[in-house]
Amino acid sequence: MAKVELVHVCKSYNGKEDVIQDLSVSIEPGEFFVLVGPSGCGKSTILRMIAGLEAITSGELLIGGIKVNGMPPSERNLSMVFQNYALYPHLTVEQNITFGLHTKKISKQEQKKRCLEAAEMLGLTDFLKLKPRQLSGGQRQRVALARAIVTHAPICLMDEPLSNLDAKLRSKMRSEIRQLQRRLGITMIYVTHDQVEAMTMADRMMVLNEGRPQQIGAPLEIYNHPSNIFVASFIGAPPMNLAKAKVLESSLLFNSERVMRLHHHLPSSQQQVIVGVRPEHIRLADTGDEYFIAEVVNVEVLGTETLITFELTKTEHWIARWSGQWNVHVGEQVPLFIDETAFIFFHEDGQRLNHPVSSYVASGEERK
Amino acid sequence: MNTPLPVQPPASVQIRRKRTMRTTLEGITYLLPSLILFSIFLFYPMLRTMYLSVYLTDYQGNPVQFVGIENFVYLLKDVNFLQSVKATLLFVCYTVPTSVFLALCLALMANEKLKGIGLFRTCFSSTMGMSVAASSVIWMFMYNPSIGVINKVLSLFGISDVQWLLDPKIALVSVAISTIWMNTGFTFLILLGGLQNIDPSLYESARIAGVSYLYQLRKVTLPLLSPTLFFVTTVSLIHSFQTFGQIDILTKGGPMDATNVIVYSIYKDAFINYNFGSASAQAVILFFAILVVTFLQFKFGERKVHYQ
Ligand SMILES: Nc1ncnc2c1ncn2[C@@H]1O[C@H](COP(=O)(O)OP(=O)(O)OP(=O)(O)O)[C@@H](O)[C@H]1O
Ligand SMILES: [Mg+2]
Repeated sequence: MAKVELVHVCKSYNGKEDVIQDLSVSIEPGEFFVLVGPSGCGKSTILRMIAGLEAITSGELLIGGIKVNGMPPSERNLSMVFQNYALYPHLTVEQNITFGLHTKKISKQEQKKRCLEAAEMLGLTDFLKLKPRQLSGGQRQRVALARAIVTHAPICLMDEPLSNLDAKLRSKMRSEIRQLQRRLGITMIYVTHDQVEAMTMADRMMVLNEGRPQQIGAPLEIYNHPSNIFVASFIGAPPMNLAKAKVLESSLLFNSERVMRLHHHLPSSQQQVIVGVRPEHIRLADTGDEYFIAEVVNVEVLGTETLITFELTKTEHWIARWSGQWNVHVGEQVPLFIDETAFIFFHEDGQRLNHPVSSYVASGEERK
Repeated sequence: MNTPLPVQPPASVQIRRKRTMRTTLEGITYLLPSLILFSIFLFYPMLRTMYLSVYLTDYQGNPVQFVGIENFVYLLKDVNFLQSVKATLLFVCYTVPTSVFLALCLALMANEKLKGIGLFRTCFSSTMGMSVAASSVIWMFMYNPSIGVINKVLSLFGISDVQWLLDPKIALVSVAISTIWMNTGFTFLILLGGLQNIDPSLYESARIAGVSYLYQLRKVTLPLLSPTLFFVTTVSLIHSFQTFGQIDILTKGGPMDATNVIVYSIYKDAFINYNFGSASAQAVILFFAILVVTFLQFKFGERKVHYQ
């Protein structure tokens, strides 16, 4: 097990603009750390810098407390799983798995033993003599995993390893990888653009956008307390509902059309804010609730839940998520209720505003 | 499940047959232009050559008397022809392995990601853009014993007066060297293309595994390049058997028939001695020799090729 630390790391490919800007993060031994962000935000670049495949422009990279900026990849004692698996097409599965082990002074017997062990673990025993092209996508994926396991490296890097698989296999491999990591106790740095993968697999995750780290934390913490509107809209499906609003004494005014009265939780200092509400916090009003009426513009019944798109204002649509199957029709006027504690306020520039009673909100939401 | 297929009603069979006819005709129509060209310039001359090889001919190349395999029997006893065979085989052995190996080394170097590598790539492949005639003339000047640059340079090291094209011992080597130079461009370009086709993540994976350069070359690069290498070797081999231009310009088959390879000998027999029958017989022998070599290469060489 080894700790991986990045200290003020910057990366520039062409010497002009930075692809990665001032990234500092410390990844604990044995942790499952996920890098998540939209396409082109620099996730692969970070991973490749840690692997040593890409030079670091400035800043420091420490593995196990030792500065490794100039160290060649093979001496960093890590393994990597590539997006396209990078299997050697002319070698058998077994040769692929044991490729390069001889450089670590491992005897032929030990190589064989480790290979069988890994194959056993991943259910590849029957395929050891086949070539990669004779395997299915999921099996190839497992060969790539096996190759990472046999090195017994304490750190494993994965770059979108599941993106070539279909949805069903993906969720299966997700839990397999997670279990494997727990069993072996390795430090995992995992890149994905899929926020579901990030939420379900990570011990901690880092959300990236345009080369800048947006927020680092446990998945639920990020989900519940997004630090800016980018994180709020990137994490969660459907994303958090966001809308600009004016603060008028004790109410919010949306686009001078809709007013919502709040009693306690208004941000005090701001005139203009961006209001965010998770879809699951918008529910059908009970009697006695202070409800508002909105027109339904779309309904998606997904079996376990129903997504209801409604008109917040003429130009803005919000989504409510109700569990169960609801018989709501497009065009219907429904009374809706949002708990005051569910509102999250952002500054106009997108940063989260300090909520007066955020601790209360936190405990209230984590209960469920 | 094993019920026999119902017998097709005759009408539908006819329709289907008509349709197959139509598609066949359509296919032939598309092939027609190249079929015509091939027939005029390739198949007809080939058949004509085979036909002539069993005849004695007059000076215009008209068959006079059927002699069967006599032309061949005569050739196999003829010292000059056997010398041609020897020269050809030597020439192939000199040029093919060397030019493929040289081009491979250059391609491996040019495949590195370095600043200004494009310049080297252009240089290495530039001989492809030169005609055989032009480059032969250049080499002729360079080989010239009195004004040639090669002897000038050698004289700095105290070696003097090497008769590159006039000494029967080295004339074939000299022609081979110039041929290697001419072939390298094409071979290099194809091999470089093959190298660039290899997925870079395979190399990255090897870097993380930490294998040495030679191990990577042996276990990753060469196996993945093997289809390209196979292609290049086959083409070079055929090409080398058919060398004509540089021999005609540099040595005219001399000195003492040292560079009189089969193709040149065919040319001399046919168009200088007007002995078309014998020339045709040589051409037929060359054809079958190339056929057999290529066949053997496919049979034994292709086993080591990893198609992806
Ligand atoms: N070799 C390179 N040379 C120049 N620019 C590059 C190179 N590789 C990546 N970039 C740039 O760096 C930025 C980040 O790329 P990167 O591959 O890290 O994105 P990513 O987050 O992995 O995206 P994806 O999810 O699509 O894989 C992109 O804007 C890309 O154009
Ligand atoms: Mg990427």
